[in-house]
Amino acid sequence: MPARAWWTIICLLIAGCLLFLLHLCIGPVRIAVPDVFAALFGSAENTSTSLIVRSVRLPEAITAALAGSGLAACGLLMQTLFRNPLAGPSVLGLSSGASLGVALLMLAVPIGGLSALAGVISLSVGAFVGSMAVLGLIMLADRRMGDGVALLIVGLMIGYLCSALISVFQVSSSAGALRGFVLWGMGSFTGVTPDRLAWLAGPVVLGLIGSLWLVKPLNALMLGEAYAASSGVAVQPTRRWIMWITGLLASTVTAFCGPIAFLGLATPHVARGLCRSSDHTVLMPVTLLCGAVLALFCDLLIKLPGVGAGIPLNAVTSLLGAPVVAWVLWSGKRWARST
Amino acid sequence: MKGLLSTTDLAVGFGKKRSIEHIDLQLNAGELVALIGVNGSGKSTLLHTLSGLLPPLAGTVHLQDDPIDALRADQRARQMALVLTGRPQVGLLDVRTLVGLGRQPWTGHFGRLSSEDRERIEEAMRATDTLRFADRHIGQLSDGEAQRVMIARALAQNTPIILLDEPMAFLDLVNRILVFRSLRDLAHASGKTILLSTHDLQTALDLCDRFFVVHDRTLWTGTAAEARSGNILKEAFRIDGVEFDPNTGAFRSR
Repeated sequence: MPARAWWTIICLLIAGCLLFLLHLCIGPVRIAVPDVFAALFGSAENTSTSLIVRSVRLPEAITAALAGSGLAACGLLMQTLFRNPLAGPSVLGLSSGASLGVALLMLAVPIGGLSALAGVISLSVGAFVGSMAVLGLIMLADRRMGDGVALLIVGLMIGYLCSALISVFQVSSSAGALRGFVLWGMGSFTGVTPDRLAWLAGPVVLGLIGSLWLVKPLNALMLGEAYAASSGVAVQPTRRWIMWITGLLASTVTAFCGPIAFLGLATPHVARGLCRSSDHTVLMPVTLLCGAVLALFCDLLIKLPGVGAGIPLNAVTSLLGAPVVAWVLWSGKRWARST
Repeated sequence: MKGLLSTTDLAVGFGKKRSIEHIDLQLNAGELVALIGVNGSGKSTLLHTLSGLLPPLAGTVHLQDDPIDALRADQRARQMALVLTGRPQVGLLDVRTLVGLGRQPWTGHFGRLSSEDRERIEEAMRATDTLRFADRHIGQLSDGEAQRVMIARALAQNTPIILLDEPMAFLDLVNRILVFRSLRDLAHASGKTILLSTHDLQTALDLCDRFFVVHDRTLWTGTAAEARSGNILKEAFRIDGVEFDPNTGAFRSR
């Protein structure tokens, strides 16, 4: 790995740790750093401080880091798979598909929303089915059309279709269920309590390990499927693995945190800019770290008292993410010069 | 004698439409072979089928003694490298890393390069004169330079067979001859088998050992001398108003 990549990784690790610590300190109640450490590693006193740190802020910070990494990995996997710099879980309708699955369960079937653990798990399953269905459609469209722009448009259309169906469910749902769904749709890292954390962390960590496991075939796929096959990659199984991992990551994060915009699409570009490379052995770890850092940063912004209190997470990720995407389009020659 | 790569009654094409039928060809060690034919005659399809990327519509392709569809992708990749027409769109990949992708069949799970791998990469870049821009990104190169990089990638794969689909398409006349000659030297000096499709008949007649000519949905095979003296090139390129001159290898407007 080149020196630049090591420096990037070290800087991101330091930034991530600092943001993580800030996360534990900042909130409605400000907690000093020594008290945070005491709450984390000290005796098992059940003071209110240690309770806040352990059962509210720690899960939230872990959720933010995992969700950020997960969505970023998702974005990079899709950008490489479809060889399209504008691919991402929210753009290609994966988040919408997951939302549709969640809406079906939250609005049409009264499962009690996010109140019960069983409810959350079934939401995950619903989101997974929804996003895999969309991903299947997108891959079919990619096969038939083999055109980047057409693929993006199909993704958008699927997104609209899902939103329309969700509206149909919303009309006939109860006020309570509707409120829960709308709040979920704004995106948040706060909904994951300690007892549910494992259900988020398990699949996401599995997906992240899978993403790192695939760096070599991902590199080969950058040159296209024919070149990949000719250099020894079993293309179809690899595509399937990428698909399963992408679906798992996008749906798990969406089920627990809502459909979060732009993180998946924008983070790989930030990572490319930082390490100046498309080599996945470098880019994948940098992207994962970058995703965690960006998610922690966005979440911290809306937690800062007076500055961003009350702003939905999705608004912040869009405010930061949309310019990145615009910049990618603006400097399109960096990514590719077409023949 | 069986060649490195051979076919028996092979038919290639897409779906039900057969582009070329009854192909019995054989590629031997140390020869440079040109695949010639008009646009749309099925040259690319044949190359894709020979490399195992497309299934044959009939007949078989043998890589040494094994039918090609019985081999796994990684086993094929150690026997045969491929250069496709056009340049892949990869933005931020520097040339050395891209050429290094050719080492994939030989590296471990994460693709870490050993010192031997690095040596092969440098060697391949030296042979294609791409060392000068080793640290540039592929997107910053001219079409000709990018094409040479893709050839370097195939050389780094270090296979006994290399198939190239119109590798000269984007090169100017001088570079075309230089690349052509380096491929011939490679075939003759290191015993590699190189099959390339090209429209540059003149250079091919000068430098290639043998010819495969697609004509009337069949494949004619013969030496360069036979191609020059016989009627095959005239027939394969019989188009109204154009005449082939076998002495110069050039086409003339009639």
